[in-house]
Amino acid sequence: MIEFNATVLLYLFLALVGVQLIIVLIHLFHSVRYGRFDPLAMISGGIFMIGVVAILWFSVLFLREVDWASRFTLALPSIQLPGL
Amino acid sequence: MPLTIDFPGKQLNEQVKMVLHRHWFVFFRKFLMVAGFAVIPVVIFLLWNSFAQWELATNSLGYALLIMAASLYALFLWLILFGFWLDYSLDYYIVTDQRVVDIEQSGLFSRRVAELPIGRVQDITSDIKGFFPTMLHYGDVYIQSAGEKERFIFEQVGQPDHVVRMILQMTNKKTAPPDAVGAGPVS
Repeated sequence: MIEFNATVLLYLFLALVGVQLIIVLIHLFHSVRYGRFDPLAMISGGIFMIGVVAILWFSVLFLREVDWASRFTLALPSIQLPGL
Repeated sequence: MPLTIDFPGKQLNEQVKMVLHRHWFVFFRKFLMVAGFAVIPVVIFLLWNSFAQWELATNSLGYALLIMAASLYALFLWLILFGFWLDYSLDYYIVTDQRVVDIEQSGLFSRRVAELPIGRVQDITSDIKGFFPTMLHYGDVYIQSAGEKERFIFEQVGQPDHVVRMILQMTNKKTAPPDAVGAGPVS
């Protein structure tokens, strides 16, 4: 059985979201830099950002239910090797 | 009739005749693929839930993992979709009365801009291949320039034969002697 702080999981999640947000910024940079002559590129960039904010907002909404001060336990199956 | 469209490096007296993107169906196919990847986990979750009567306490590890995985997956798919859209919308071909410009975005860190003076166009071919291109009338346009090995390729543009005719008309105007301008395209 493994026991760990819930915040460990939260930090791991935030790190992965952070990586994706960096890619979001690169995408937006491209959209604004090369699509500045095209109104459609600007509109699609806006829709993209609304989508990103919506996904993050839903994540926060659901993850607020978790008590992050608690500890999680993970029950691992006991492995018994023959002959040991 | 010239289009009132701006693009990087446009000359003051240059008239834009055509701005071509890939056919919408090219993006739609990728959109369907992403939509499929978005729907599959939802269907699996609903089926599993209906058979196993699965209930998760909001403060359990399973609940936290499920929400986190769903959020990361949704964000990942949204990024992929926008990447496909950028690849589609930032790739375009411009035909002006003076030159042909090919602007190509490949992935996040590669962008190629090539141009060819309209007077140097030597040979131009359209190619429609496959079921969907034939049905929806889109395909490739190959432009061979004088004295260069590399060909310009307009990939998967709508009505490629019309594009070929337009460029040929402009090439003929550019290369014909002044008294022959307006005499019509040479077949």
